[in-house]
Amino acid sequence: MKSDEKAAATKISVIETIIKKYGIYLVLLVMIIISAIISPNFFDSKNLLNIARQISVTTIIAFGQTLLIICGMIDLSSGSVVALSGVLGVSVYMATGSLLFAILVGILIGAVTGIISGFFVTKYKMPPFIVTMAMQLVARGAVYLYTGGQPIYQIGDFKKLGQGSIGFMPIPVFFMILVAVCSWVILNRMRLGRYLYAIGGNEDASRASGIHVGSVKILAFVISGVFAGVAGVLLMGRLNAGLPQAGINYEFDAITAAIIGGTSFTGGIGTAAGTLVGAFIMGILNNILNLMNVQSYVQQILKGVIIVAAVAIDISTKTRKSKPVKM
Amino acid sequence: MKKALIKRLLAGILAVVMVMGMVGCASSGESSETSNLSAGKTSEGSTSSGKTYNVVFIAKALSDPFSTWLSTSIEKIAKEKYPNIKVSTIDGQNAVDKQIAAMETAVSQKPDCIILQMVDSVAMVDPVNAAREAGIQTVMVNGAIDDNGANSTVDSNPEEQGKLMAAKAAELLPKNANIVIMDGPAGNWHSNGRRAGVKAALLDVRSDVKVLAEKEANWNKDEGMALMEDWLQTFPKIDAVISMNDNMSLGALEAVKASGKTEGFTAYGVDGLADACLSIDAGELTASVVQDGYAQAEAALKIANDIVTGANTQVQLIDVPAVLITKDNVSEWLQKHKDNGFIK
Repeated sequence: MKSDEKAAATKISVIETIIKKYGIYLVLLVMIIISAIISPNFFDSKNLLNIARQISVTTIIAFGQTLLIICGMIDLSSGSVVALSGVLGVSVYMATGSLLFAILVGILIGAVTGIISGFFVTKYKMPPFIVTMAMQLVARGAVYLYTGGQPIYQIGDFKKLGQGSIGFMPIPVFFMILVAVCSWVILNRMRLGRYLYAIGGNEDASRASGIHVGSVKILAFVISGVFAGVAGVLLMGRLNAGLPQAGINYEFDAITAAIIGGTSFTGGIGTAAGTLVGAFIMGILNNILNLMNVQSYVQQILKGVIIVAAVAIDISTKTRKSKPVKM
Repeated sequence: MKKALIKRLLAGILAVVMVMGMVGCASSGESSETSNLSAGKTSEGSTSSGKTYNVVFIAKALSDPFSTWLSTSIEKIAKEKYPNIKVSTIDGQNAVDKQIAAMETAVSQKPDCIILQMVDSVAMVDPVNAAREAGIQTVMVNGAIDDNGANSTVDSNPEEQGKLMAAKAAELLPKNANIVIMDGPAGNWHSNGRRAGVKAALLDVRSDVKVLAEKEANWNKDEGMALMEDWLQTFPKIDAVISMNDNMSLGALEAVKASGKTEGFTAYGVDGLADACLSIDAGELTASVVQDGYAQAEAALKIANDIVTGANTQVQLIDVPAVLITKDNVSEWLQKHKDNGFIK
């Protein structure tokens, strides 16, 4: 009798562990199943690639946000950096005809904005929220100043960066996977990743244990900036124009993806895989609501509800053990 | 160690400053006139009469290409035709509160006249009245406020624009065509007006045309593109996109091109800005309707000149007619955009 009970208990705890560990993945799975049932077009390979292509730009930004949020920070300048780096990337391409050079310039601009934000956060102990909001204004102003508010047209082969494919794989999706792998390696296989978790968990303890907190923070901003720079170049390619108005509020979509994916604003918690899942949940939500031709007012309400539900499920499955369960 | 880090950072900052410097030089032609109000008080450009008038232009949003067209045109025309008028520009930043603050700032500087491209037709009534009480008349451009015709206004009728675009679609669409419609932000005055025109000139006269789907893409190219990508997955055959502005239509076209379903596809929009004209010229966008920013600027300045010189203080309502742009007449508009420096 007793051993039976024990076996049953282990079974339950195994299920509980699975739910606990993979809560958000289960949410994604359920969403995919529901989507496939209500829309016959959903599982079309074209549609799946379509979703991946649509989410790639914000997902790339989301990985940068994930690193920063794990470290207890945030970057509100990403959307503006996307526009600045993308437009300058387009300009450089128009001047030189080199796609590689354009990407490098995008990365450089992103890195420089990251260095500046990181500098003020570490040197003057300013809240990242304020510093990056200021950077959001500066970068947006700079791109308007550069373009005079007018889009850059006829960008030629630059559009391949956003619309082209390597084999069956759209180029933005390729970059998204590349950035995802980079983020995973940083968080799981590099000392930098452990430092990010440590600082996000307890900054003072990290400093006491000899971590050079300032450098780590600056590096995190640089990585976030670089990701935004890459995203900017891809976005302009996708839109087939250098649009100074592009990317407004992209940082919020990115932060939402990270948070849905289990990254916590308390710091020290979050994974690269979770962010990817969070981004797919958002992307599938958008896609299925459009496929179903749901009215846009209703879409906004549904999106809000589903985002809260997804995070609530994730958090409740994670904290079940620590709280007494009342039956 | 720390010093080395700071040195590296300083180098980085220097690089950014240099980039910004380059940026400044490259765009000086377009934005140098957008200075603050005090700069508008200089006395250069006086005519024989010796009197210089200060006119403040409050733009809807200098991040918006049409608004930029309006503002550069106003500055250019003032320089060429009204040397006695000195224009300074304030950006309304597409926000009601910012534009109200801009009106207050403008009034406090006591200009001779204000030209306003309103962000909101209701919220801007009080600030315009406040300016009048301070003895400053406001000329509305590109959109009227709900003032029962109390202020001089230059505008293009959005319903007329919608009708022009839709009539072209009604002419070109095949029998039993399947179309999708993209709207501007919910409740937007221009979007609603254009949509009413689409109903009158297309949906009411071509009952065979079926609207598969309709949604707001908020004037944005990226949103229009993503929306069209999803619709292309849902609907096997879409013959046309009718969009309340060009941006969304151009985004939809990018999606259609990527899907390879361009055969027989037509796309319609409104605004007639440089990107739309280039697209029409390339045989992609089918038709656009231009609201002529230059003509609107010209009319607004004429009224402003009448007011400041006292030549005509009556309320003037000027309707700048909308013009359909297709492949047939696009070269003329390309030339205009080239003249304005929007196409290099």
